[in-house]
Amino acid sequence: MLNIQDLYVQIKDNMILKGLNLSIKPGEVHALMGVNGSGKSTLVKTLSAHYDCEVKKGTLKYKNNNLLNLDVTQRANEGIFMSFQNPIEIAGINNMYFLKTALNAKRAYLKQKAMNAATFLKHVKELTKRFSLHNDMLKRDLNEGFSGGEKKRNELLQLLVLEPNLLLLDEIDSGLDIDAIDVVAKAINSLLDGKRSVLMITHYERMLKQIKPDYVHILEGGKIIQTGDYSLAVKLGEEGFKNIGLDRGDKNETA
Amino acid sequence: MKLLDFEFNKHIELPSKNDESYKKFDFTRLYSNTYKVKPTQNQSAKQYDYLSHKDFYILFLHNSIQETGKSTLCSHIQYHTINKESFDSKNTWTQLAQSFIELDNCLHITKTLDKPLLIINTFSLSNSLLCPSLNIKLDNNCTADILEVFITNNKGACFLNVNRVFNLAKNATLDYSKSENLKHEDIIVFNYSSSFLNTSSLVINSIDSHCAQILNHWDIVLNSVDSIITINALSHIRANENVANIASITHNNINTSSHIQIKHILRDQTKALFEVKTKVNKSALFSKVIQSSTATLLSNETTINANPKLEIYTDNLEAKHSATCGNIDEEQLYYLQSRGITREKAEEMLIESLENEIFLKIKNPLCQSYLLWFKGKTHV
Repeated sequence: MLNIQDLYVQIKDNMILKGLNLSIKPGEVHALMGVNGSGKSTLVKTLSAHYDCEVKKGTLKYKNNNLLNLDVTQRANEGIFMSFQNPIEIAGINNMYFLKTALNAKRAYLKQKAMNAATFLKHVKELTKRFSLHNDMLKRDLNEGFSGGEKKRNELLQLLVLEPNLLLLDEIDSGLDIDAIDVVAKAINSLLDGKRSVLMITHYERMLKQIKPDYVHILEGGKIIQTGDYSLAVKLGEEGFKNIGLDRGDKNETA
Repeated sequence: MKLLDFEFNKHIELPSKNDESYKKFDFTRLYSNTYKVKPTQNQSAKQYDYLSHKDFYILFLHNSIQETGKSTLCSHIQYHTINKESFDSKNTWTQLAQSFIELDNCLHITKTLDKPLLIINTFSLSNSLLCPSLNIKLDNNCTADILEVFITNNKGACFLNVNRVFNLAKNATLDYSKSENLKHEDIIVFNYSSSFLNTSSLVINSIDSHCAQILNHWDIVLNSVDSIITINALSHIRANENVANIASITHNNINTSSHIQIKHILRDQTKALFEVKTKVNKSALFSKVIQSSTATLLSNETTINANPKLEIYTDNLEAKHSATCGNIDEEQLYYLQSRGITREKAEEMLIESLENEIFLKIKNPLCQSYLLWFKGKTHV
């Protein structure tokens, strides 16, 4: 699904990722952990072609194609979905209209027939009912005036509608209460059909308990320094980064 | 005949670049076109029947003459013509229109309207200069929603110099919205002026787009206690079109309020002028003044000249003014694209979102949805 070799990424004048290697096979769930500023968010933003991230070196292959040849829109339509740590508010764009436009953009890219409004509405309402999401969100403008939790739920709804192949979850559980984390986990698990893959960033063990990762990676200084299974996340939860030789710094959280 | 060559110009000095307000205004097109003053060509208005709507009272004016068969008014909406009244205005365009017309058209609303009034102005005259004028009067305690639209279907450039005078009596509230669908080469000048009595409120929503040249001129005097003027305007232009929003607001009494918010969306080689001057006199204690110009520049070749000006002679008031310009928000664009939407479509959605902010300020849902339809954004 995804193969990253010797990746160097710069934001402005700072080299954030320094020789990162990672391989994700179809159906695998990977968790990315690390102190603030270690490069977790930069990695998922790079995979989603964020304009801040400049790839200086390395290869990025997705479904055996060179990801660097695809722009942000193409990557999304090829099945890469990044849930934002801080989803953007856009007043004046109705959420339902946005979701329908995004879905039909993907269908057009895949040369499928556009979904009409009635079918789309029915489909979305089934999803909101199944995953206990408020229909009210659909009527409002995109993330405008949403609480932190509502924004994350809206990211989840987009994810469910677009059914991506590679889910990049950048702290999708932050700002959510315990019940909401359970809903998010349930929704993500429902998408895991053995073909879809997940790369998730989280600080909460509760999320990892419910979406059990196949691999847990620790990122430090722009590269993966340790890889283990779920037990590594448990160890981190119990002992913290300090006791495995890493300090929580005051570096930029978004890096 | 060119505008500068008309006889009425003997007493009226048309604006030029020497005038402070018009320094950045491009007069080339306005003064170089040739127009007929008393056009004889008069096509039927039948082609405009589609503009009527059963949920509105309708005042249908074709080439400034009422089409009684197409108008559906009620007993408390009186439309009539009277002998021209002298009207003191410093605005040259208003003076020009006054010198041009022989009778004043008056719209008198005597009671609160149970549904909005739609004024449809259609023009089928070619290469012509027209000065459609209308005095809109609301009696005490009246509330009304008025939506006014202007449509041309002519060959050659048309110049419309539109005069609107609002007279609001005590406790009257008027929500007035206007827009136009003109031929690309047409030029339109709107002259709005108003006088207020106690606690009356006027909201003007102005949606302008796709016209060679658009000039909005607001001349408002707040003479009475508690009177309020709100102007929400959207100017979305492209190619080599240009737009000017010029306002002169004077606060003369206590607790008066003026709020002007103008959004510009500028493409290609367009030019925009925002020239708003609010004067708060000593007698206008506790006044509230807001001036705001925002411009989204969608091209490197477009320009805006924004001058929000405050002239304050009293100590106790609340006033703020701002003028901002910038491009489409890159992070918003990225967010939409990250969901598979193309850059072009994402830009279109974001521009629409800017427009929607002004459309949503139209309180009456019928007026709002009609205007969205009129501007080709949705279906009623």
